Amino acid sequence: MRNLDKFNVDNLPGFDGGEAVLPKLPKQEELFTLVGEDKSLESEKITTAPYSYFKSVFKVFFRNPGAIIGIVVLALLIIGAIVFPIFAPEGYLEMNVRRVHRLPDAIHILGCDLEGKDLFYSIWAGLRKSLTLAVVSAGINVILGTIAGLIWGFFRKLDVFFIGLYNLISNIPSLLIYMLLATILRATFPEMLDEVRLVISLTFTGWIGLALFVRNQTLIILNREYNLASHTLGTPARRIMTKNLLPYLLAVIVTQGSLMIPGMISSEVGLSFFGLGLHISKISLGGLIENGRKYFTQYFHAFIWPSVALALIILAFFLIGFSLSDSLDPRKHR
Amino acid sequence: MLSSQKIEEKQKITFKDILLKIKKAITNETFLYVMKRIFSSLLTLFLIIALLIVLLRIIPDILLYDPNLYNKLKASSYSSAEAYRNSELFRYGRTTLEGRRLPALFSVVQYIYWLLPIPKKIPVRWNVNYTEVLRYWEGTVYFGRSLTQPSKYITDMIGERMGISMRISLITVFFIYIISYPLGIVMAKKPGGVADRLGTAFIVLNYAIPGLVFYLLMNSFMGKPDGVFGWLKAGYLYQEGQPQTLIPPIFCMVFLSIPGNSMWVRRFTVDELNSDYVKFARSKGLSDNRIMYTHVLRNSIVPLVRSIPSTLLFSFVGSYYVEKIWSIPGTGGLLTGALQKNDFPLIQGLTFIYAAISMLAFLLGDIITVFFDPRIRLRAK
Repeated sequence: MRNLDKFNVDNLPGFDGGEAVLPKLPKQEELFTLVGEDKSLESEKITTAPYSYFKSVFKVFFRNPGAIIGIVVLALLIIGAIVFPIFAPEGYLEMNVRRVHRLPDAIHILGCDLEGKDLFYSIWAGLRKSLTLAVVSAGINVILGTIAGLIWGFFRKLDVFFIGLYNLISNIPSLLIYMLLATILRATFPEMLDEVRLVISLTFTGWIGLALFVRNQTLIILNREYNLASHTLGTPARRIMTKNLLPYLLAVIVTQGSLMIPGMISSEVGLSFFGLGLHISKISLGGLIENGRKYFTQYFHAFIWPSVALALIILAFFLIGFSLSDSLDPRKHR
Repeated sequence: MLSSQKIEEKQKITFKDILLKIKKAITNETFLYVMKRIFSSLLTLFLIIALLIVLLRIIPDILLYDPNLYNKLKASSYSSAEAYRNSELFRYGRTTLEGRRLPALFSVVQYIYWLLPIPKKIPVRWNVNYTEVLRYWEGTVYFGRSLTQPSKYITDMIGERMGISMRISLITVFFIYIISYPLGIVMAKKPGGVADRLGTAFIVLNYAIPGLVFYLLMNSFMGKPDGVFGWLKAGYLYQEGQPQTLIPPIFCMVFLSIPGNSMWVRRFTVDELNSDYVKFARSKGLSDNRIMYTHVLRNSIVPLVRSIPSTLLFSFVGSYYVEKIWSIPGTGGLLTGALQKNDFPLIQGLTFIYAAISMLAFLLGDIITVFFDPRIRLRAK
């Protein structure tokens, strides 16, 4: 809006107190002659392919070897996490005193852990649980963060409130929030599923970072001409947000989401370390690593294989996220 | 004659000068901005305290005393059981000595009164039946007393643990800066070149390493007396007076923190290298090195300078994993320990100190960026 002040009519040369003093121009025909289009000329043809943003994004994305590796690794891990726990032999995913810390052999490829669960099948089952939890928490965070960020960026009057909230949340250590919430939820809702408690802990304040990011992006786009036009035409706020802003932001939000998932998986592992993870009867990566950690100098296999699975899944998401953010940058579309 | 006149003039001017200076200082926009930030920080701190106390209040009473002991006492006499429960709840600030429940608002006001910098006298130790005060605390700012280690004030607890944590953090930060800045700049010099690709691969692989796993592996790998790093004599645990035992933890922290830092350095430097003034300087015939070291570096470091105060101020907080694995008696485990043992005063004190320091660090970071980049100005709306 402010930019328009420059083009105030009073500031234009030639306008002198309302009286227009324009120089007399000769008629157009006298100055120029019409040439017409000559299609035989080589210089008239457009030889480069037409530019399309999303096509270029995909092109740059799939040209990156890192992205391919990431997608392949992630696909293999997801398929394995779905398929292997179904075909697990009976009793392999349950505690068994006779198999405690069994070393790798022909029957149990990766050995058994502290509770006597077969590690190979446990890792796939744990991967499925951890991945589901991480995707659900990251999804909730992304949805909440996007809605809050759009509202924050669009209604400038709410800025004071949201900045206050952001300062409040970002200055409290996140571990404190996790642990306090876990204690409170355990005491007030003893029936609550561990998974639900974990998702609530991870999403209670996790969305605020993404909200700030979306708000900053919204502020940048909101000053573009097409939004100004919509605003002048009286388009309702909801429509501007969903039709003008959201499509533009979608790509960046997806990138942020894919970078958020590994953080959520690591958080689950960290919470298991503090004893706030899932119940011992449920298999998750965090629980497996925590079980392996206790005796890791004697029984190295029970610690290293879940850690390798964790590292692989984090690596896959990071590779995809980095490549995605790289390919979304139009300066690299050449 | 002349000299005395001069002195008189000078005196007149100085008086007016002081007034003018005060007026200028008050209306100075940077000063106004800083005052506004301090005011809003105090408001946020107040809200954090209130929120935390309300959250701690939601934790039910039954977690705060031993229900078995209560039931045992109840079997013999009801009043002694009630007295036991009351004394426990009184320690947590939920009831008065007589057993009347206190609202959360009272706790908030009381805590803020403790924190106000005015001289005060607070009873800290009673006799067994809570009938007589044995000791008072006297001073200005009171953070409370730990419940799990009752003889210790929170400031003392932090004070005696922060030395070692601070030493480790400062050495770590020094190495992180020394390694990650040059790495980021080398990577940014030729985007897409060999150094850039190797560096990016290193960063991505490093990101994927789970911290806890890396610490545990390095602990056993570098500490082994007959292993590859046996000549370090680092051992598995930290020992006082033996600085070589700190090499593995510092190495791990530096190794895991390099990628984040160097990625930002690379990004800001690449952004600056794409700007118009660099193209102009290049067209005028300046050498690449000259452009890099006299123009680009100064500008690309501006966004990174902002984080320096918070790194320095937060150096007294140790890493929880590292301090637990190498058994370093630092501040890292204080908050988690307090949370696991329901040590409310310690939780409140630590949260207040962390929040206050982080807000101060952000403000200092903003002020420092102004000194580094004259284009940035702080001004209150």
